Amino acid sequence: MSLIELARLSDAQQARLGAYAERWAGLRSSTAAGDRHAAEAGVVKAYAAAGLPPPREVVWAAGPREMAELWSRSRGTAGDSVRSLVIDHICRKAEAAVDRAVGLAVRVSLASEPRLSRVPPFCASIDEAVLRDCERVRPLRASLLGLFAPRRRGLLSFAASSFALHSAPSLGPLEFFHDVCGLQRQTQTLAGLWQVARNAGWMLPHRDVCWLTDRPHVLRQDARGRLHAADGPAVAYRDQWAAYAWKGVLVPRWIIERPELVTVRTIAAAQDPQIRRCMIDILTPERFIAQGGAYRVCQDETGVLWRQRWRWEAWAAVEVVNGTAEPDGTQKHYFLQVPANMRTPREAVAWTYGLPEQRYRPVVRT
Amino acid sequence: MNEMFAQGDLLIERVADVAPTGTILAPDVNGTTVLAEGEVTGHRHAIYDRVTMFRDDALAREIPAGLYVGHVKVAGGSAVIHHQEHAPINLTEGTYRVRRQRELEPKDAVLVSD
Repeated sequence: MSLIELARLSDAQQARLGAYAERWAGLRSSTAAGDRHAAEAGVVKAYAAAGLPPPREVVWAAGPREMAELWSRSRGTAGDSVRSLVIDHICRKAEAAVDRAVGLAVRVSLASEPRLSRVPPFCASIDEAVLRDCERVRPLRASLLGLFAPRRRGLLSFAASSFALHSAPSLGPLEFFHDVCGLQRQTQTLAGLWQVARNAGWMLPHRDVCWLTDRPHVLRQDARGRLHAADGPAVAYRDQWAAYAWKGVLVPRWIIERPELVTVRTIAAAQDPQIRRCMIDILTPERFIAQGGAYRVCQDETGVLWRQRWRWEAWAAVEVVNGTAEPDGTQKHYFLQVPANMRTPREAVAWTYGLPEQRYRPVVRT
Repeated sequence: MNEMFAQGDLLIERVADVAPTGTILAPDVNGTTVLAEGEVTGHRHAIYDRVTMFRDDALAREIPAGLYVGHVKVAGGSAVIHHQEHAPINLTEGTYRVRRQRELEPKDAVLVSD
């Protein structure tokens, strides 16, 4: 007997997919204050769904860094971490139940709405920045004697204990299946988590205390959904914690706030290849080359190839000229960054279109 | 070799004539088919003539992910691709595959071993 309850989405269900995608995309990138009472009520429901009594206390923090500090000072009075029970187990169980109940056509429909089925890249960057900063935070022992006590279960790292609600991949699709497709039986245990996700940023549940944070008050991304801000923090919480990012790469604050310090010399001194690329981007490849940052490799009818080598890394760009003249008769030059192993400008330009060198032969270029 | 045209950051190549398959991308309310819109400038590569644009990933397997824009079928005459900063390109009757240009991104940077 088939267990499939939903072979394909009806036209009416398909039509509502977009609204859910928009709602969850909006929630992930929201900087609006949530309703704290609603979030706290959601916590109670989420604990109940996991078969746990409500926590003795819900503690709010303005951001994840402050939450990590409060958590570390709880000195074991909050009980064990219950993240796996309240979040991971509940989500996995609902995902598996829905997975058994829907047909391939439903999965295809869901994949056609990536705003609902995929977590945008800026979410992973926020998590990376927060976890990198909170990596060393651990709950302090209740007393000196604790130092000699055997390690208690549930005393996990911040990364393993906390949960970024904006990065939850399945909450949106499962809410759609619950509200629109009649799969309540499989998904009803998520009601609390949906309520928390609509009103809070991070959650750190322990048996007796559940910590929650507000959403960030600054969150900026580029057109491709990457964490990016050219003139300030890309993400900031009200606890004054902030992170800076360029095209999805986390960068030190000074690179964004003091761009005048980004020079050929500081670029050469950079250690991280991704950060170095961001610095060249910020200086612009054109100025980097003009200031002697790269040497000319060769020229052909498609453009000029430029390259630079450092100890462990190489960089290349191809300079191309617009096929159409500007109104004043000049022609715009563009610098496109390409893999450093390009040998000729033609190979580099062909790479920008995903073509092998021999196949790039445009009859008209404007 | 396929006939190939480059207009700014788009590359248009003539391919074997095929019937539209996959997803048909309808023109906007003014009947304009927009091939690509500029992320920063808002300038766009647009065809004002009557053409059929469609997207079928099966016809673009060798194109790196993210570069394939779609196919354009020109039937009954010719069509012109316009852009604010580039001279127009004339397409005669036939089917064309359109792809966009890419650049190495900071995230793609890796250490080299040589």
